[in-house]
Amino acid sequence: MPAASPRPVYMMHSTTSPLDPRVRAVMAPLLDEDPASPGGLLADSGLASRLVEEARERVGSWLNAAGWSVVFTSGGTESCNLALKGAALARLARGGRPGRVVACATEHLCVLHPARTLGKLGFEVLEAPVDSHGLIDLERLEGLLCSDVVLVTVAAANGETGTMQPMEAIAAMAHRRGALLHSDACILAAYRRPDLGELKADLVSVSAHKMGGPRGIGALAVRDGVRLLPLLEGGVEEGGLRAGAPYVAGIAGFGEAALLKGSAASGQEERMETLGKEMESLLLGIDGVRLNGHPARRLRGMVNVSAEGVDGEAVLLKLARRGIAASSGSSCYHQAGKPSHVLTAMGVPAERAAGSVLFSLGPASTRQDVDRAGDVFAQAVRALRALAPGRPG
Amino acid sequence: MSRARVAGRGGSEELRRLEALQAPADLRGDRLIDAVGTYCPVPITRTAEALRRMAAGQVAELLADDRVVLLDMPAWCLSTGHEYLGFRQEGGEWRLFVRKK
Repeated sequence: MPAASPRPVYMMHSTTSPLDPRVRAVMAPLLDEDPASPGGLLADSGLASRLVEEARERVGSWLNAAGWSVVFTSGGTESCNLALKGAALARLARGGRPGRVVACATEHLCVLHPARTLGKLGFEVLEAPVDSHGLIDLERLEGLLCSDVVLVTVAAANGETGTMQPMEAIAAMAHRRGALLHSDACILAAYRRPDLGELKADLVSVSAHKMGGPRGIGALAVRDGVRLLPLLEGGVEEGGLRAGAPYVAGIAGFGEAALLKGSAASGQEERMETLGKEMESLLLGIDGVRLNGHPARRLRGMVNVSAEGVDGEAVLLKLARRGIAASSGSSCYHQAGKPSHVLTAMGVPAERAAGSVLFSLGPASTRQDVDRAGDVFAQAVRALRALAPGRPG
Repeated sequence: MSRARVAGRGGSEELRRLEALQAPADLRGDRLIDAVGTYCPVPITRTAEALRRMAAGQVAELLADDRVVLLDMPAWCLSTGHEYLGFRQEGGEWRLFVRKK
């Protein structure tokens, strides 16, 4: 009898996480609603709003959002777009001049692209550089801030490297200049509770699908007193900031995911970090393998490495053939064949950036998963180097 | 495949040549892809999608205003084997031409 193949190993949690079965159980009846059912969503007009408000409370409590509004959106991308364009357009709508927008150079494209569009509308858009570990250069950031700066946007943790930014110091700088601070906390939320009290920002974007919730739902937390112009208009939903019939099943699912995260067995975050550290030491033990990201100020469940002399895509293919799902971490790389803008901003040479592989662990990851992924990665690197003579073996 | 890997395979000179390649003034595409307002990698993915539906030898004409595409498109063509025929500037926009392999 042939040996059973080992179970698949999923290490792409920072891209998206599997739907938690308990979240699915909350969503399924809402998706399968029967129009004839007397107590259903269609017949009971108050039920939808009760479910939405209950979820808002749960997400708000998970975010520690007292004194904030939680606006449901279609996900992190929409939340970031609403934060940037909403704040900038609100300024224009009140007769203000377009001012300066400062984005960290390693932001996700759902931040950098709307920033560039604001540039076309007259805003002066500047990127704040990072060091070789991906940490924002605070001195250079300070130099970019002026009295006319409208918004500063810095992700709490980076989606490719997990490097975490010093949000408190950034907030102090931005607020001294009278600017709003937006923080994309979608990646942070995959590993830690994004506590608004600690992030010190004015606008915070989160998404459900990296933390066991469904895809297609996210939220923008808006500090009281912050003015935004909506992107979607024509309805009273979400306080007028996001018109359109709400995705009730998704919102309820997000609420459940937030509740579960809030009450997750203590030690879950620490366990992911511990496993991530083990993964890191396994990978860095291989000759010519280097870490991309900060060695300590990082979500340790994310391990991004480059193996000298091998192609990241070829490694990913070999991993996939053995049932291990990892990623390059960069959408640009997959879709246009160019090196990650994040690694490029960190000064990682293009050839090393093209070789990057990101392992992002999740709550269900085990020691066995880590050992196997590390082992298969080492075999893949050895095999690929054997094909390229003259490289370190 | 990245610019780095294209260059690493001895293609850096060819890449530089392609990046500077001006398209003839009378060149027209068989299919126009209007990607104005979008950013990389969207102009590339939309060109790739259009080329999949075109016949070998036909020319895709991309209109874009993200100048990054002037570097990305020649590199992408070198890595995929499609023939990059160059670009023309029209104010703040560019027309790029790619012949399907």
